[in-house]
Amino acid sequence: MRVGSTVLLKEQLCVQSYGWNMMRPLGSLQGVLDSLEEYQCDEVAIIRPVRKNDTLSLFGQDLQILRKIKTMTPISFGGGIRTIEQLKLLKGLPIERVIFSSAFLEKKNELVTLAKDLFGHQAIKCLLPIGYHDGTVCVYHSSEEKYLPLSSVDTQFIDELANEVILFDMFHEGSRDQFDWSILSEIPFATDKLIISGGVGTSTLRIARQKKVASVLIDNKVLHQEYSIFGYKHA
Amino acid sequence: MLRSCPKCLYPKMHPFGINITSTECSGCLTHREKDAIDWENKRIELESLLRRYKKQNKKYDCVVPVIGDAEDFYTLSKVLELGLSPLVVCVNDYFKNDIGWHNLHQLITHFDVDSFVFNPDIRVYKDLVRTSLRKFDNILLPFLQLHTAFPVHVAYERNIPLIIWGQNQAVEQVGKFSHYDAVEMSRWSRRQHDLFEIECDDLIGNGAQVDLRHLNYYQYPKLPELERRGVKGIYLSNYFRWDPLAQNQSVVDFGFKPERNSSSFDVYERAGSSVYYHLHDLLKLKRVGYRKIDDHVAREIRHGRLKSEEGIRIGNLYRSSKVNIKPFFDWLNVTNSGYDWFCKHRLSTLECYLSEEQSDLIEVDLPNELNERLSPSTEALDHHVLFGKGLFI
Repeated sequence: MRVGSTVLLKEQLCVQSYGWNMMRPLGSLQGVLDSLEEYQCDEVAIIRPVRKNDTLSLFGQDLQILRKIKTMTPISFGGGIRTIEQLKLLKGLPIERVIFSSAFLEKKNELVTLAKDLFGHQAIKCLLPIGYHDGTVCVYHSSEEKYLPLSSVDTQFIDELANEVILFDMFHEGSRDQFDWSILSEIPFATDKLIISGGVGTSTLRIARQKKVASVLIDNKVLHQEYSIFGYKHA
Repeated sequence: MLRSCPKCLYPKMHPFGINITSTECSGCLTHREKDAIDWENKRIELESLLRRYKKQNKKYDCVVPVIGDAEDFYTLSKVLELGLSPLVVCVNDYFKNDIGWHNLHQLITHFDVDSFVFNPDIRVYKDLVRTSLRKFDNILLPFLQLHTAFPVHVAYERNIPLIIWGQNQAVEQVGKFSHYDAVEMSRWSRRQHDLFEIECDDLIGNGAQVDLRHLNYYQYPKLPELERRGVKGIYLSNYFRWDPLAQNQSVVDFGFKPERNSSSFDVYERAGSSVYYHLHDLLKLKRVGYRKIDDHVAREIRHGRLKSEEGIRIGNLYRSSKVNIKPFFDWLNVTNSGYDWFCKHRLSTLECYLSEEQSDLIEVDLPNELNERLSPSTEALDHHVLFGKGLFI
């Protein structure tokens, strides 16, 4: 099982998000990646936490930062990739994988298929911000800024096109070891294509290992102490 | 986009990064946690953490890095109250005045703790300060590199796996983390918050022509080595309700000497420095667009001792204060013409803040809640005293 990290990139700087409703600053992307590399992080998912009001200009500004990064750690990138024009801008960036969220929820077949052709099938990840909302498991549709019941999502479409699915527990992000495992009982995907993130801690790691998920991505906590990844790997 | 916090007035340009909404900033938001946290529970959490480090049949339980500041008195008092046996480590920044040396010696003698002061090679140090000033408009970087790395080397070399720091500035100033995160010392945090992403390597090469062998203690130890020894650094401000002004006032009873300065009402923070409220403050203004008074005003608004409108008035008064920076250039062995050149070309936008004489103290009408926290203070007699004891070279 891989142990990686989620890094949120907002207005060219990294931020920390808590409980899907509050953000704190973190620092420069390169500084964060340098430390994660020192901690022997297996992978980093750089995500732009954007909603409805994202623009091509803001997207381009974030890509400028991404273009300059120097790291040996495999990078996945996503957040606001909603058009073919945006997808084409990713060519030549130092990233290994591409993450889509709204594109999967809106079943943008042409966009995701083109991404598959450009980057390869193994490079396509689907991010599902997920959690219990009003008693039902819901997925947050970022570009629409609304919660969708998981039952209304075409999971077969996701299963066919995404090589891995990131389940991001949005209501426990930033918390210590509170990832909600009960969500998994509602998920139709094979566990070995799941990546767990949001509220990951050492006991989450142990359960993840037992369940044989593909990877876990630690969120805010990853830089809150020295050698954190090492600690998680030996949890 | 708001340029400052509507509540505490903290500017958006803070180098740590700050999130500002229409009602408050991340610093105010995190500060409010202080009223919600059960601090007794936090103390129990700390005591449980410390149990692992106490009484391991070693002479010292922890390293406590100090500079002789008021906060160090408070931190050390808490460390002793927690029943730990500390080794106090200080790096000489060569910027202390007579008050600074008095405070450092008082700290060690009052608490009767084992300590040592590391005096870096002054030629190398000055070379790095000169380069840091030239390249980054910062004169404290070489000291900060040492202050944040040397105690970690000591912890590693002497096998003392715990380092205890006072406040976590990133939490206290901009609310970068929640108190619940209990963020620990890390190389990332040092680089991001103490060094502003400027490592020692950036000061050499086309800057100071310094032999790398002299820079060992300026650089953070290798992480795998630290990991093997299990060296960990914690911040007391995650476990005690942190109120710098109130705490600093209380340490006057331990013999701490506050110092007046012309750039802020705070007579405790960095009292005893010949540069902190002088050239360092002006360079901060040049780099990030605000002065130390803005940090103090934001802090006091959050603690309820200043209202926002009072903060604006007080900030404006101190922000225009003049300082005499010539003694620093004399310390750096810069010629008079070199000093004139620097003022003309590198500080041209700050000319109105420069004074050739000891600056007059500004009389500012402060609210009672704030005034009550300020102890009687004195002015330094000697500046840039290289050594508190021992040889003068």
